Amino acid sequence: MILRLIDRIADTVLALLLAGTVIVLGLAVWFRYVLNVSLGWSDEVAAYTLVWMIFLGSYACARKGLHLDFPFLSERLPARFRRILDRALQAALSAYCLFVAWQSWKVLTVIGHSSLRSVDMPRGVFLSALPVSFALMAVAFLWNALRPAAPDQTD
Amino acid sequence: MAIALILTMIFLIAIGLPVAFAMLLSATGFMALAGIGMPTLPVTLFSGSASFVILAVPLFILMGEIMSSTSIAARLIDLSRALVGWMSGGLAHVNVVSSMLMAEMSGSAVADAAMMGKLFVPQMERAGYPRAFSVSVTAASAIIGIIIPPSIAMVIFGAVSNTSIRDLFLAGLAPGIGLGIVFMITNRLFARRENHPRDAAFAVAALLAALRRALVPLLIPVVVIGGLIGGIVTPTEAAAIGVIASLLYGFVLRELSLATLWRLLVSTSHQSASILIIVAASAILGQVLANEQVPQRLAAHLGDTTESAWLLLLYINLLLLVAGMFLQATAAIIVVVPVLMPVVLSFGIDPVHFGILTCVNLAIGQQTPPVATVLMTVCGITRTPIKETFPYMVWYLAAMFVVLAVVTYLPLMV
Amino acid sequence: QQVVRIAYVTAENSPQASQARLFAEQVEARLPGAFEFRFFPSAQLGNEQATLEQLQLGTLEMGNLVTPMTEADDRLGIFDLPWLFEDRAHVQRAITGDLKSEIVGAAEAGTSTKVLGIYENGFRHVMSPVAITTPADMEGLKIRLPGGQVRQEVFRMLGANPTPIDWSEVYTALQTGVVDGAEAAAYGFAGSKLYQVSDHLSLTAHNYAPSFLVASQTFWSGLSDEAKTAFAEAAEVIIEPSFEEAATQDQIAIDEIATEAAVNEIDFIAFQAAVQPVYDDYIAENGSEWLDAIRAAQAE
Ligand code: NA
Ligand code: NA
Repeated sequence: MILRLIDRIADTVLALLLAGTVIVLGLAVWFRYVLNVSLGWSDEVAAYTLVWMIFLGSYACARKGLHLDFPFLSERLPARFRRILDRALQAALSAYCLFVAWQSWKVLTVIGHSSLRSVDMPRGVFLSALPVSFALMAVAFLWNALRPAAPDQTD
Repeated sequence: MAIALILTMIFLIAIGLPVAFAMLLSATGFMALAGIGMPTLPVTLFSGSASFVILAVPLFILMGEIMSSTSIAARLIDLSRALVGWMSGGLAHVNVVSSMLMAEMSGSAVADAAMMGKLFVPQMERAGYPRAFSVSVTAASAIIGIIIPPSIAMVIFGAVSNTSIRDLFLAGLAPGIGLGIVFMITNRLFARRENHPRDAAFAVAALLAALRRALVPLLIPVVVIGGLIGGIVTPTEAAAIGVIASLLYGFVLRELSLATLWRLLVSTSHQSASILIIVAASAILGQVLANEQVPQRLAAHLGDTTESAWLLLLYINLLLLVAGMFLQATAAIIVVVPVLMPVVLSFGIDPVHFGILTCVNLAIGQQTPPVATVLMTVCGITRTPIKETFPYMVWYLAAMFVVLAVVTYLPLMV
Repeated sequence: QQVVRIAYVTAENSPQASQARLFAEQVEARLPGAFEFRFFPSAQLGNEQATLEQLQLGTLEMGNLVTPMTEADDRLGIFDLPWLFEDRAHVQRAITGDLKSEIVGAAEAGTSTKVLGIYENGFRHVMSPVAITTPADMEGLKIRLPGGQVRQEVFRMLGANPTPIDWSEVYTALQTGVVDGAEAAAYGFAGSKLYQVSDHLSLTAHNYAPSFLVASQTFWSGLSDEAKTAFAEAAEVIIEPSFEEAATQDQIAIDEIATEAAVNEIDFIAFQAAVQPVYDDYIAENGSEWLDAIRAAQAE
């Protein structure tokens, strides 16, 4: 229930970020070629925005089983054994993501205040994508490991 | 230790971890063993993802999505069918030639593959080609982008090895076209063996009708490619302009609703994330290998192992192939090339020759499981299990190895 | 034997690479076998920002950095002021005097690192399709410029259109004409072969970029007093040779560029007059002490 709500918020943020990036880059070209003034900040801000798109998007992929995989050994295993293995892997992923979330939180507190170069905006705005998304991924993978039905197979 | 790292990664992938997380987990374990501080992990994930160059990936996917869900893609492909559909394997050839043209613009094989996959695979399926075949042609030909100029990989090779970028660009042309030709031969063989669909005989009236229907949609690739060649935009910006042009078309002709656009934005961001987190993970891997100076040790070893340029080139090909399987082309070049360069020079091998064979190897590495960024990208965005492509990919890979062998050894003989 | 990794983003042919190597040699001469220095050129361990972050987090021992250091404190923005230094000798007089400890103090406070020495990352020039000799020649040129609000402002004042483009894309951007020109140090133009796609190198020398050889606080505080002394001495004795080497590398790069592009000097006076407002802004925000010190070094 709560996860569904988070999914919708994440999807909304992702769609808005992608749309915003298209608009900003379109404006950058417009300013450079039509008005002959370059937007100094567009490239840098667009590049940093990608950090949110990648990691929050990875949360969505964890929820929907969209992460790319190639299980060439485990797909030969008996179905029952494979289900157990998959749950164990999801639990391990959850623990790993929690670890990365914690590490990136520590890093955020040390270096998050420094500013972007082309515009006064703290790097932490973008760096916080890491702790937030990895914490969310930890929850998503944990849910995959524990939920009642068999975890979705990536298709 | 590097071998242990790679084996761990392959094992984790084999038992079902997502590729990105198998890379991250084994790199993290390696960092712990090597005593590299853990904060390096988030710092590198962050700096490896905040890249304007890879921003082209989501934008090209979005452009492909919009073209596919309006009539743009169908109209463009129908025009190509009217042109070459009567040939056996016609659309597959169009796919290859489009990639060779795209190679002129985008510096990133993953971005090329993402857009071409969105554009071609559904349309080829509509025309009656097996999906796994369409995926294989698309993935195989997408790598031509690294070899036909302009190529960011070659610019970086030139910069780290002090080699003329112009000479690299010039030298890339022949192998790039060569790859295109061997791919088309492979297309042809499959078309014969599997009896791929072919349209009715060529008809001028049908061509004119298709041309009329495609006239406005044709403006979109013209704007994108023209903007790049004309020097108005960078590749990433070109993708954004392509998105805006496709949107205008979709809205003006009422083929696109806001609800559909929203759905496309969401699905594009999911697909991009599933690809780009692998790119971010490969930055960590590159960082770890560089930190442990793995390439330096291998290079020193190589120099001692052999006295024959032929054997040396064989070893270098193997090394680069493995590097290309796990690292992005640019990361692999920065980490591997500077340390191999002195060895290569001491054997009297021309730096430009080395540069081209590096790019061809890295291109092939991106098609080779377990990591296979380019193949994974096309499989991911078309929801095709990677295993189903093997019967086809094997032959496209064989075609690539033919070109690689020629690129590697022909200059030694002339 | 303690491993010391030194990371920088420039290639092996750059002044930063030679500074790192000179430093390592001097430490080795003082404490033979105590340290194993490893060099990481070409951003192998990440871009400048990521390198600084690893130093701040204590996961890297040393770096040789430019931009994140000069952006660490508003007063350090002085290095973004155009035509501040006459030549290398002037730079060397200015930043080895009393001013040095103030610059070091500001950089250390702003980055939480230990600054060992300040050297050179080169004078920055412009490559463009036409020779630039007066400000009027800049009018309307789209010039690739990395970040930095002050530096962008300078080029805007001169009538150019500063355009940020990733360095890896500059070669093709110049080839296709997305930008008309680029600004960088001569070794940068030579290393990336930009002279193959641009016709004129104007020796504008509009900026002198300092490089900061820094150590992480974690690493520095773990060193013995003996080692600290050796590091400080090494950083001091390489000043002279590093500037000499930078001058040599600069000339080699300019010679390489000259094989395929025309090289010209500029009319400094006209340019200096055109950018006076940038100086006024700097003084209004940061006072004129540092500026006066640098100008005093000019008169010597
Ligand atoms: Na290309
Ligand atoms: Na293709």
